[in-house]
Amino acid sequence: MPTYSKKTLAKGAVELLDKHSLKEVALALAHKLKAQRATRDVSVMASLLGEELFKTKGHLSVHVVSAHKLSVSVRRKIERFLKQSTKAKTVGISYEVDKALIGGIKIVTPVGVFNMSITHTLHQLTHV
Amino acid sequence: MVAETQGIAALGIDGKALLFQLANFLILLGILRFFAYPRIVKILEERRQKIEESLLTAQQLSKAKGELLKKEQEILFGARKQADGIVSSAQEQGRHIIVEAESKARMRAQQIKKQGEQEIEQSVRIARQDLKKEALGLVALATKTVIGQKLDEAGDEALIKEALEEASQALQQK
Repeated sequence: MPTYSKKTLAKGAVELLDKHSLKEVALALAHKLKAQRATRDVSVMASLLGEELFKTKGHLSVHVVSAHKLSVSVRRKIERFLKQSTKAKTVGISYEVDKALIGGIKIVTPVGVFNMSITHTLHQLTHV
Repeated sequence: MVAETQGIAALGIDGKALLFQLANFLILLGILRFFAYPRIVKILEERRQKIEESLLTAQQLSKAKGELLKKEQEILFGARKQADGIVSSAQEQGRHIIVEAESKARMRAQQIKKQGEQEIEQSVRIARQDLKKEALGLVALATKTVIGQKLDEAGDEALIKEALEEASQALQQK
């Protein structure tokens, strides 16, 4: 059985999404990762998939972390900001509340992290 | 009757006896000439040659002694000259070594001094950085505590909106 790089697998999985359902593609990818004994790299794989989706389909998958639950208006503002800044056609956002942030938000995208939290600002201040 | 004596007999010399003694002498001379003289002459000649050889050897030895003395003096002169040269060279080398050692010691002292200064400078810098870090940490902790207590949901949302606006403006400017 041939072994593929994670980048190639991500590219293949995105191409398969045109003909197959997400569940089928995810299962196939999981089997392949297991066969290649690369199950530890699932988070890297997820990041690569997001990157590939953004490159080929223009879909941006992000994870937003905030200290408090965000209102609809703020969520819309975040979506607008992401579309504007990345030129993505569609944006998929998952939200998480983490009190450790104190305030502000942290946006995790496949291509990088956009940290606007108070904790991060304070961290930067202490590491000048 | 008294016989008259005449000639050499008148002198009291017996002629016969004289002739007989003369003949004896000649016979003895002849014997000596044929048997003794050649050996004596040979011995004397050999002796003379030996003396001559000895004299020649003595002369040669004397000459050789003179040459040896001359050579000895030459060697002594050369050795003295060489010794003087060695002593002079050693003195020069010693002076050179001392100068070099002094120079090295001076350089090493300067290096140690410089290193010490650098270490002190670095320690001061590290101490300053630590102090700054500690002060910033305290400020951050204080800020964190104050903001954590004061910041409610509405305030946080306003903060997020503001941050997003600033980020959008920054991106547009780029």
